[in-house]
Amino acid sequence: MADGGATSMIMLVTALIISSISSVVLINSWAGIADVMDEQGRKAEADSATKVSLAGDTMNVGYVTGSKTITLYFQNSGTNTLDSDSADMGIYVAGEAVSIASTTVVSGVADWYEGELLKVVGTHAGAANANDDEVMISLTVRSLPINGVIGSDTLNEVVRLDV
Amino acid sequence: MGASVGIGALIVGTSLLTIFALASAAIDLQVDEALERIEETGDNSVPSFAVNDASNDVNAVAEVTFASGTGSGYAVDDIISTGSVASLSFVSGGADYSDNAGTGNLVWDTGGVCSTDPTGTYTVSTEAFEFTALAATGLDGKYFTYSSPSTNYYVWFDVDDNDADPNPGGTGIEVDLSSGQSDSSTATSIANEIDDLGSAVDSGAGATRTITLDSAGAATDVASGTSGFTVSVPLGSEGGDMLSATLTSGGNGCTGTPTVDGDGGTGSSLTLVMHSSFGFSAKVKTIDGSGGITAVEMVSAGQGHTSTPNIFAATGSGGSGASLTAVIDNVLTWNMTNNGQETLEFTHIWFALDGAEPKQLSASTYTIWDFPKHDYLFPGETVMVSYDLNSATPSVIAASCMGGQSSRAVT
Repeated sequence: MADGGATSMIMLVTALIISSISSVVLINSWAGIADVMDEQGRKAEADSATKVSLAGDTMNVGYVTGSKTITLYFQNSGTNTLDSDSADMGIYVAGEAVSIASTTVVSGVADWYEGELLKVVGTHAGAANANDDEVMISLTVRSLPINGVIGSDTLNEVVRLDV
Repeated sequence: MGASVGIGALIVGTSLLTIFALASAAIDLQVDEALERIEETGDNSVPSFAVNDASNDVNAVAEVTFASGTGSGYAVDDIISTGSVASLSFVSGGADYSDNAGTGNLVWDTGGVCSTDPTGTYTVSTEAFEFTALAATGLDGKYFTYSSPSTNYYVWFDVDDNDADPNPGGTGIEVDLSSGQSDSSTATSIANEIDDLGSAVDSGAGATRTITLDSAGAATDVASGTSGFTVSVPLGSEGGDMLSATLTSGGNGCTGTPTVDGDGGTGSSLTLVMHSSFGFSAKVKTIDGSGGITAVEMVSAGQGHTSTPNIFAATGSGGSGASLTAVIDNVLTWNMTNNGQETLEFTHIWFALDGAEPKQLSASTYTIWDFPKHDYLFPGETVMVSYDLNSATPSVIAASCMGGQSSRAVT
């Protein structure tokens, strides 16, 4: 009987240990999944609050054929403040990379806040365009970090050039 | 021993289940929050709005400034209008006008229509007449008559200094003659006396002379009286015909079109064009403690002002003394409707003219205009925007707001 009790105790303790370890592993796994989902959620939230749109007269976008200089206006149409540093954005005109010469917040405020316009002047690589050419503008911007999370947005729109 | 083990196992197992349940609930909550965040990111709606119309009101009143003095006694919302005469056109002259006591000032009958009457001048013709004299013999005590605009004259002849004044009425001009003077000599004597005393000058030679009055205006025509002379007023030599009219000042405070004419005559045709017909309207926005106007709010710019109109603040509230000046420019007026489901913030709306740098719609920027009174444009709401173009004449306006865009040709 005494042997039987000891055996039962050993089996019981063994079962408890195995189940505890299994629980810990399971909980850790779930926690890992939850953390990833949480991180993705925050990134998605930041991306959602990071929006940029084309502003101004898209039928008459200022363009200089000789220097391949284009002047574009973008509005921060999200709620996050966007990064107006030319090094942190990418622009393409008809697939050709634009070298940004200047970025200016039109209203003169310090940062590219919600609703504000950013004037971007730059020159693109590749062949020059002509008056009334309709070209695809691609822009990628990112927000200033909030709680360490940076949102981003990409815009693709056709504009008509006005030389 | 077996019972003790069973009870111990039950306690430990229950504890483990409780811990597991708590951990699981915490993880579920974290997952729910993450899923909620991801779901919220699905809202990517873009504002929807439309520029309904856009017009360039050329030569409109773009601004109202204070020339000097803000007056006193005014009330908020007192109407400010042009209310003045923009131009005067002379169509036809009529007859029998005086020169208005030498001033040539037009006579305005505003009947209370204008708080300050317009002013202007006109010109009238000067009468001239001809007479053909006879030889002196036989002219004893005879006379003929003529008039200046202010005096009736009779010219009588004293031959050989032995005739009496016939005194037919009026101011007599005695012409001393001698028997035997020829008709042309008689004419010279008469002309000299009229030159000296008759408010007129003569011209011509021989027996027939032309007498032109010194003063313009209507005058009673020459009559031969008892002289037997041939007298006449040549065609086109009547006095008192209005020849021209000119607007000097448009006045102000006119709530209707006044009438205008020369003095004394009839039949002229003068056409007035009022500034107020061009649609300008503004109102007193703020006043100081004494009712002096401190700010003006534009309601309608009007258009088509060919000259700067006089403007005034209504005196209905007892106000007076404000001196306002209109600034004429081209004004862009456009209406925008929020036809989406989202409320738009005015400061998020930008508009570009012919591809130029966009301008921000801001209540603080356009305080002089009767728009916008609020910070937001709600779904279904329409706002009218007026913008001083200076002398620009854009052909396209493009508005953008948070991803939404609308363009319209400027008419």
